[in-house]
Amino acid sequence: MNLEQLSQAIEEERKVCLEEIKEVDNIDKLNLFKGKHIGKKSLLTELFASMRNVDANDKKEYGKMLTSFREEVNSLFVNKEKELADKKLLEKINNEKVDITLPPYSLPLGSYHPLTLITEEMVSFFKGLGFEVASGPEVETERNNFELVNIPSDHPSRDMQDSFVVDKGIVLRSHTSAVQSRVMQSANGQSPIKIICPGKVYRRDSDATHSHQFEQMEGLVISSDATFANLLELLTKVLRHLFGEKREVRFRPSYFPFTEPSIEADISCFECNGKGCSLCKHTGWIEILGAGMVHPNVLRLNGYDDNKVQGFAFGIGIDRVAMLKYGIDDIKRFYLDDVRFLRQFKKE
Amino acid sequence: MLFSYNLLSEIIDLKNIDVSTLTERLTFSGFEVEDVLKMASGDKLVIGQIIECKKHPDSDHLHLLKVDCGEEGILPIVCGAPNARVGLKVIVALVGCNLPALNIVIKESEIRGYDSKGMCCSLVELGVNKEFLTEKQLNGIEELPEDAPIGERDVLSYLKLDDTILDINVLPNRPDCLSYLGMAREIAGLFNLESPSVPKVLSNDLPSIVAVGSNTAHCVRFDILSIRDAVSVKNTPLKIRNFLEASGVRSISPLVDLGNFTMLLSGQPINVYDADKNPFGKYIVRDDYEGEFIAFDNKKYELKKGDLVVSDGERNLCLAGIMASIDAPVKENTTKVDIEFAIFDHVSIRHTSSRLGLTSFSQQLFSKERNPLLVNESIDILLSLLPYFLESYTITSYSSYDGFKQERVRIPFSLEKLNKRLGSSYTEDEVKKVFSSYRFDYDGHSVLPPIDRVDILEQCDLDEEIFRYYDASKVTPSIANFPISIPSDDSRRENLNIIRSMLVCRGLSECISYTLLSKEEDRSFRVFDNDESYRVLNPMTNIHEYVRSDILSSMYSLIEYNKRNQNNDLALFEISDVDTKKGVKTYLSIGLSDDLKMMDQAKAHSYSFFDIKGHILSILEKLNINPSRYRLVPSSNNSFHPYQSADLYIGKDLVATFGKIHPSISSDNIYLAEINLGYLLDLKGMKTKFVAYSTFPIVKRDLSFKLYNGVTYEAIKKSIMKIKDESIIDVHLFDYFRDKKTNSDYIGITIYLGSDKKTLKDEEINASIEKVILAVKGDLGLVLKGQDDE
Repeated sequence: MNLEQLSQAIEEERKVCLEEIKEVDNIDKLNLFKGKHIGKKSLLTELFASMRNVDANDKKEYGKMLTSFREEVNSLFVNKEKELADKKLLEKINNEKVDITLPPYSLPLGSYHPLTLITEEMVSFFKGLGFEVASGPEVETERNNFELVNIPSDHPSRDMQDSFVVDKGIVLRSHTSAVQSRVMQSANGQSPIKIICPGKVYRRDSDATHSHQFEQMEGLVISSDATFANLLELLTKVLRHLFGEKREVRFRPSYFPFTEPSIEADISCFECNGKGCSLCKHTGWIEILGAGMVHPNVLRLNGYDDNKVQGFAFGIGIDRVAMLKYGIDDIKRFYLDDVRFLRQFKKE
Repeated sequence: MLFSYNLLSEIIDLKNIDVSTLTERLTFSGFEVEDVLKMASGDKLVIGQIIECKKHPDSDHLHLLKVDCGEEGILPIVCGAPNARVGLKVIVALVGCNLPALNIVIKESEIRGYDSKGMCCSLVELGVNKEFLTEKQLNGIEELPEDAPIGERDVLSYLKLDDTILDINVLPNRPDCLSYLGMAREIAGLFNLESPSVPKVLSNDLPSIVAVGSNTAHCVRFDILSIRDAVSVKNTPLKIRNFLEASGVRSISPLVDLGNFTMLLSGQPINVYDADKNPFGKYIVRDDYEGEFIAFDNKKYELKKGDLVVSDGERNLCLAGIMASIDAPVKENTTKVDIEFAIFDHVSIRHTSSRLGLTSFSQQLFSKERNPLLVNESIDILLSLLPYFLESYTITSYSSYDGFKQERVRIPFSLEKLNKRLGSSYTEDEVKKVFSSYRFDYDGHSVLPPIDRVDILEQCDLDEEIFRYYDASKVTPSIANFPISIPSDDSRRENLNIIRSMLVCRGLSECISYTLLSKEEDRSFRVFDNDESYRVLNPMTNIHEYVRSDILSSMYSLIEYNKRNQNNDLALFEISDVDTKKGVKTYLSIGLSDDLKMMDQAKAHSYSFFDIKGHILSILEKLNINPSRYRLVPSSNNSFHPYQSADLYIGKDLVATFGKIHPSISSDNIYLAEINLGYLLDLKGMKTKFVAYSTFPIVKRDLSFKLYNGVTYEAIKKSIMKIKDESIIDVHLFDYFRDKKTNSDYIGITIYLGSDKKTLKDEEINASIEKVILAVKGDLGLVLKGQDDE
């Protein structure tokens, strides 16, 4: 076969290939095509075999033409193969369509109790300042609950905190200040002390804003020179941490038996920004906590020399903060634990 | 305490200090003004006289009035008051008058066809407290005196009702301010006004005819002022009546009002005795009486030693400072009175009154500390008031028992200490100003407070005076000198929070429930402790009486409460300390009910024993407590289903009980758990240490066995794991099912095989599996499914 004949043969085979590849629409037909035009019994293979009989001068050109044609046919095959694979993948993908608005296959998250959320928010603030978390029993001695925080049995403010009595000299603690005396007693006169004590407390009191059980967080700092100015700074910062950086904080002198001077802190109302609304009883301010410099009597009663150390204490009602922050109308909701209430509180 | 602004103005000069300035200053110096009330209000009022009164033709109670209102002319008014009549002088609210008490503005109107241009008012409609009005005043329009000036527009001041009442929160450290004189002194200090003084009226020449004395240290001062031939005025003057009412005290009779008004002004409790009823002319205070005391209202009280009584030597005249006896009350028409000014120990009065449950105005004053020296000015105040209450009288005797040892001590004061403690920079001048305003005698290093200030005992009390005198902003918030410290380990609390967060992530909602339970609740579910709980001796209700020593019954109550409120499919937990007689424990309870719901509320499955078991074991895993350290046994707790509950032990200690609630307690699908979380938090978890894993492939082989009664998964697993064959790594459950045709149980397990040295060959694997089949057959008698006898 000379070059001209070869060229003619290739041209005819090309036409056939191009015609046939068009008809290929599945992998079986593609394999047939492959067998017929590329495989051992194909014309192409025959043509390569006939090279033996070609004139030596033409051999190089002959080989070149055949190789080039083989590549051509090969690429027809490869392209078709890819085309079929793409088509198959697309079909597969199209069959896997889901409605992404269907709900996830997942358990719903549970929820934190709102009092836990507030407590932990405050705890993390104070831990950042190096405070330790202290705790004590809820069934407490009158000595720790009252006497050691400067509320002797004849003190008028025992009336302010009507406590539950369990036994002679034993009460349910009426404030977390009871933990103060425990910590100071066990510190044996050492300072500094920097503690917070969150916990449940109990008083004989009950209405929409008072429950016989509620939660408080006490803070106490004792050192050689912790000042009232420190207290004011700390309270300003923690109240803004809880209620927002834009809150104004003001302090009013007040009275507590365990501190002197004593103060109450108010924040500007976050509902009305101080303009006056029902939340703040039209005053623009919300009373939020009590605090003061630890009374020297408390220091002396707990084994400290009040000439050498000083300090401050504060107490925050967790329930009150949570009620204000989340707009909760009745303190009893915290303890009834209706899940329609509980499930609203997620974030820690 | 309620204070009349007008009465305060009579004691100190408040000309340049209006109510809002006063309120602001008081609030920011430790006397929170909780409320500001108008004694009465109404802006367009006038005094009128009814000159015509006809019945309304279409009404059985309305009157058609013509009211002469002076310059306003004669106004037609339709009025429903039963006491409307010709000639009566009345208060008329004109058209446009704003009456805050009724929240209305008077409008010209037509009432059943007749014009009405105003309203005749009762005092209630002007906002006067109903408690102080008579039945007649409450039921009709106010009847003004015959000489009331027609056309007078300043009706409130004519009625002496143009007053503002301040409700001031006097804190327990300032008993001196529970009186007008004390509050006026405080205000004078705050505004640099001249402090009020009480002129001396008591004559030194009076004889001491009445015998007075005290045989107890709990009464250090007891004075009797005797008045004879006393003739009361007909009525307590209107102005004083209004002052009393503004202060929350009802006017009763001139003689009683005299005592009450003196008390209000001076803060000194007063007791008035009928001298006719004390023929011995003797008043002795004693604390050794034991027995019955019959009060003036015929109620009987049991007195003990220590209760103070005033006796005439034979009978008890009164329970000192608290209540008169049946023998003592003053008759309306008495002309001989003995007036007591005493100082009883405030602690003793508090104890007696709280034990007997008796309180009164004077008892409240007596319950606060008071300097006995203040008795003198109180007597002077009463004497200067006498002419307002008595038309005529003679003071015949003044007797005083004075056992008070006067001890006035100067209190050391250091400005440096003040500034160090407060972190402030007050100056010497600023300090001096406060001390002089408050009548404190200051010499540069010590202070002598005035006799009325019983609260000033040491420097910190003076620090407070200075702080509250100036604006709080004088102390600049600062972090300077705040102590730095390194907190000790808090991992117990942190681990507790991790467990809490894990449970939340596992879909449980945290609860906090009441510590105090009813007796039944307290006894109903117990896991760790069957001891008696603490019991509150003074509960508010028996629903909250016992201090819980277990929290499982609270959890059950919460589930019941929620289910009653149509909240089903619950997953709840609570972490709480409990105070038992054995100490404080930290417990965790879990409650599951009905079905496990997915996020879209589609049911995943009904809760089973294995859900609650999963929660418990995940806690142990989280705390790194290896399964080899604990064991599960069927629970012996009879609150739980006997075959779907377990007790978890570590060593000999019961650490958790969990499972299905006993069907006799509830037929609902409820699972409960209680875990001694504190115990687990205190355990040392395993130390985490990396173990190299095999890089050769792991092979799995599944085997199914037919189960016979009593053989447990754990037993099969144990039997396999004790085979001495290093290539057996682990055993997992893959199926557990009941063949309904044969009613036989089958268990499918997966054996994991591998080596850390090589890839196992088939023969090796098959040899190991043979060992497994032999072991299970040998130890437990189980055969492979299909090879049994069926």
